[in-house]
Amino acid sequence: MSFRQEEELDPMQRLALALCPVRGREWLAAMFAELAVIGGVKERARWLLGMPRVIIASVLESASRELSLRLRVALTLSLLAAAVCLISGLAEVELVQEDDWLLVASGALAATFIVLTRSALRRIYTTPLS
Amino acid sequence: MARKPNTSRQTEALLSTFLERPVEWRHGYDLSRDVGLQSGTLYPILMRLKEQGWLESQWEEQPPPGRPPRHFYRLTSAGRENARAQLADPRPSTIATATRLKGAAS
Repeated sequence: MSFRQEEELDPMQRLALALCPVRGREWLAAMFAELAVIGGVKERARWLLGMPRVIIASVLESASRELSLRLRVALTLSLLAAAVCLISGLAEVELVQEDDWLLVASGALAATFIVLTRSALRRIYTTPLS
Repeated sequence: MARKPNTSRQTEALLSTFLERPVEWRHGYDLSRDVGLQSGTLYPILMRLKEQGWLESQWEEQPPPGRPPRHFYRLTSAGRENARAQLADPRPSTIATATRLKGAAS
């Protein structure tokens, strides 16, 4: 594998590669390399327009691999529970008696959601290619 | 029911293009023109085929001065077998799409 040295990349390439998970970077670099042989502004623009789709495909693929089913369930439950707790707490709707703990729980569940998401993103963007 | 892998019309058109010159290394832009697919459609398919072991890739080792190395692709031997098996009994829609895509590209 032969990526160009980082100092050879222009700002747009750096940004695109930074947004792309590790899994897709080689492919994005390959797309940039093809630009050197594509003539015509229209053709080049059409080629560039495909890059966001490649980044999105890489993000989705990486996320589905990194987030195991159990983790996805935990994420979803944490987010939903945090939302319910927060809404009921702020709207002062009493789901149970003395429900101040709901606000505390919403904070804890939101923090769980953030930690799980952050750890998944870190793996997606830093795990080296196998 | 889970969808069978690599049975989309675009994927089958790409496999068919690879099989026309099965051992030749191909570039992304050439494939895009030959198959008639936009880069945003082509590359996710290439990525998937590689992850499944159907495709192999390599970087150009000695590009001309001033040009970055290009990425080459071709089907692996397993990929060729799988592709041939899959395209052996193509759906009519696949043939129509492959013909249309190639017509649009030329």
